[in-house]
Amino acid sequence: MPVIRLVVLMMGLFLTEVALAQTELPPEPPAVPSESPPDALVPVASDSEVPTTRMASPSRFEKPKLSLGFVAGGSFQYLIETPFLSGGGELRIGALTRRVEVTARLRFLAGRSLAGLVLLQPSLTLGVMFPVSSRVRIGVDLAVPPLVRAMLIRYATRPAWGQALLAGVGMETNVDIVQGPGSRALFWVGTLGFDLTSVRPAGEGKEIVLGPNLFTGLGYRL
Amino acid sequence: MRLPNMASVGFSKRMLRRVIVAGMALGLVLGHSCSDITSTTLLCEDAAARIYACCDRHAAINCNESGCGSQHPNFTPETAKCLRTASCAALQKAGLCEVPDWQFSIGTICHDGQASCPADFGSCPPTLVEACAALGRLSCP
Repeated sequence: MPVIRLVVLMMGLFLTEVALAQTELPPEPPAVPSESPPDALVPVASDSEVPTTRMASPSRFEKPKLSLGFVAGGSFQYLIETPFLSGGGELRIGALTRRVEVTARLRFLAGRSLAGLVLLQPSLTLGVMFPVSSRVRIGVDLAVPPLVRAMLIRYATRPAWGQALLAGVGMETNVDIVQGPGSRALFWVGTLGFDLTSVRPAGEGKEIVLGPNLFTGLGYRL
Repeated sequence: MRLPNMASVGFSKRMLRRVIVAGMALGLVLGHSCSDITSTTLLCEDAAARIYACCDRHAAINCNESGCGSQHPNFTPETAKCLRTASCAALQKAGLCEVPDWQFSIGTICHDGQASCPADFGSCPPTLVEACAALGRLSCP
């Protein structure tokens, strides 16, 4: 339990950092270097040295483009001492700029536990991805309230479903395998994260359980 | 009198704000994520799925658990973990497919294939003796 508490605390702090990073803007760089004395001679460019082509200035308020993508893949989840394997698809809708891509992800997976219990896993998560090169993006996949990942488990001994609502966070990497015109690309997705839920260990009380969640697949971005 | 450093005041305010936000986020996450599954039920269901998949004919298994303690899953978590990792050949060879009844009464002790029912003055019904012996042949607790 101390380990679980530590991980949960770390997740909370991580989420806080993400939330604060959205609200705190970096300080503006000084327009004039402070080392130069005010009366220093500054070389003045003649008219002939002024570039004739106008440089495109980077806009802070770049208009985002619509980002639409589909991903097909598989997942390994270990929760409540039970391993589950599942596969399915994901729809991603969001906004894309040069600095960040924010998408809502609607995912539906179906699978089994290794012993044979049927599992359905719908989820609605938020992805925030940052480009680190022309082909690679890294970021986070968040399943925090009000977003959620659900597990519906078909019982073997009676016609009923057990359900679990999970919250979690994952570190995600996208690598463009084939790039097309615009932002079109065939890309690989890999996500390693942790989900947590609370269960009743033996019919009474509550216990927080934490388990890894690994997702990998291929996607196409329009 | 020494005035507090403005930078340290700003830092502590920022830290306080972060702690509050983290606490609220953590509370929201824990309140939001829940399950109607008990861990004992899930493990029992997983073991039952294994038996059902490996045996053409099998006895009914109960994994339901009532909050009042009157109903318990047939398999303890340790037994369930043992059953679900066994191969179909091992389950069949141990005779688990031929067990006529898995309804262990409360207080039944199954240890090393030997059943003991203190509620019935130590003697168990023959069906439970057979079930316990099958688990013992699989080396399950």
